[in-house]
Amino acid sequence: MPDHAPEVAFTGVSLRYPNGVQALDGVTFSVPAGTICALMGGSGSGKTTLLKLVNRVEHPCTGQVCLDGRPVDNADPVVLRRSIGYVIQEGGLFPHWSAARNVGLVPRLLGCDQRTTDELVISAMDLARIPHAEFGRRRPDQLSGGQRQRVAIARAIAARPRLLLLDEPFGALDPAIRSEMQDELRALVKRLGCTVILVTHDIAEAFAVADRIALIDRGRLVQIGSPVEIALRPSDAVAAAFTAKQALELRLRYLRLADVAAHLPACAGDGTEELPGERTIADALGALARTGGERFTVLHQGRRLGPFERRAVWDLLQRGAA
Amino acid sequence: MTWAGFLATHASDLAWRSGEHVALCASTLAAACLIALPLGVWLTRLPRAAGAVLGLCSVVQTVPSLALLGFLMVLTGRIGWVPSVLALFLYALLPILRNTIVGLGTTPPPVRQAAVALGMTGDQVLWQVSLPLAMPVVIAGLRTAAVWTIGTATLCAFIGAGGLGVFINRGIETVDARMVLLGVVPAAALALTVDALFAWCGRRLTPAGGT
Repeated sequence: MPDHAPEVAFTGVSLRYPNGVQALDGVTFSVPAGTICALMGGSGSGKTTLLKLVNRVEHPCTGQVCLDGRPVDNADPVVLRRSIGYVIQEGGLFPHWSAARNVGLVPRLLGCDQRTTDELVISAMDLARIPHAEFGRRRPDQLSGGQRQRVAIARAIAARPRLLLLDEPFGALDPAIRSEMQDELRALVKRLGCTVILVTHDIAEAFAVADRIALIDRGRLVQIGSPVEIALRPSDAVAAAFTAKQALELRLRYLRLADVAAHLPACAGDGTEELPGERTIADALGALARTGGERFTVLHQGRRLGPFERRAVWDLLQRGAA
Repeated sequence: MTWAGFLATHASDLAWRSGEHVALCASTLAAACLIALPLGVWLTRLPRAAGAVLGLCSVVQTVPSLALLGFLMVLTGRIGWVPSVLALFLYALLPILRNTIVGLGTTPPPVRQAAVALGMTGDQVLWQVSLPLAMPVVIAGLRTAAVWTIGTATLCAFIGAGGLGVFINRGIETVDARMVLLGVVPAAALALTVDALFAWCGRRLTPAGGT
């Protein structure tokens, strides 16, 4: 198992199924070490297939997938998979095992003794906020949907993998729990320092969790970039369509002042308000509305950006996909 | 003769024939399990062959029991145990084989996907996940086979294999209803007992969280 988070690189991967369906077509991009990348696309777009190439559940017809420059094809699939955390929609927990036994799966497969396994299980369940003392003995059918996903996440991180593959991990949860779990997941993997590839069909989930978003459509990579780039600089009409329906909401909720400052025209005069760059646009507009401020400056990493006019933020929010 | 007197007269014969019946059925079921369970497990990896084998077993099932016994008697050139065990064995194969294949196929896809993706080998998925989850269905197949075998084994008396069917034969020949019942009631009791026994084993072997 690598002792650091790996970089994952897809190089010209194509996959055509025997039935003639072109699942992937020349996809090239990389996920830098320690970052969270969301693969976003509709059903049948090839995003899940892309994920399965990483742990060799699927194999590309051409191209290759590398972890830290080493092709995964050179690794033994079983050894490789045990070193990678995996969460599937609906959890895929073994229904006949207790939560704790489920979480201990990979440590046991790796040959850890009982004591080490127990320690890893307790620690993983703590990290996933599903305490072992309370939930360890329960079987999956005695847990709620959200609790099951926590167990699934604990199982994925139990052996301390440095790469996590998440396939629609929250797809079956109701929106309130979903949003809570997204925030927790991001905090958790940042704390563990993992590289994460997350498959989702929900653009808001991609914005909430990911550092970078790869838009996949019919087996092709449409655009890859930060949420800001995806929201404000779609590469073409296909990319713009991904965010079109929720464009305003995404920009308000997930873009931070520091992200958009570079896209705002500076105005003359002084800013009457100083706002921290970490604030979301929605927060900032709320604060300005309360004080009646028209101009503001952004404090980011000890630098002062601006001043900007409040109206310029509105213009940016409403700017169509250009 | 009173019932009590009747039973007392035939007690030792009943015990002997019951023993024969149990031995006949137990050896048949043991052989069927020994062949059908591993075969079923193996066939889940070969869906096409599984279809063919199941079809063949279904064909055997459509042959009337008495005809199959007669046919095997001719084929083996013997009477008694050999053709009897062979016929009962062929009948017992289908329920065990089919339920094993069906049971192993019921592992929920996300469970199987997660098991593979987390690094379980094919054998580990089979022994630790698929088989435990399939256990209720596999046991149900065993129960069907057992009840079937115990009932059908009464026919084997026709070709000299002994067992409780001897009383039924004798009763039919002498038009003696009591004699028929002497074969029927213990056979039914045996079937119910074995069924209950398998059901109990099934509950012990079935993971409580399983489907």
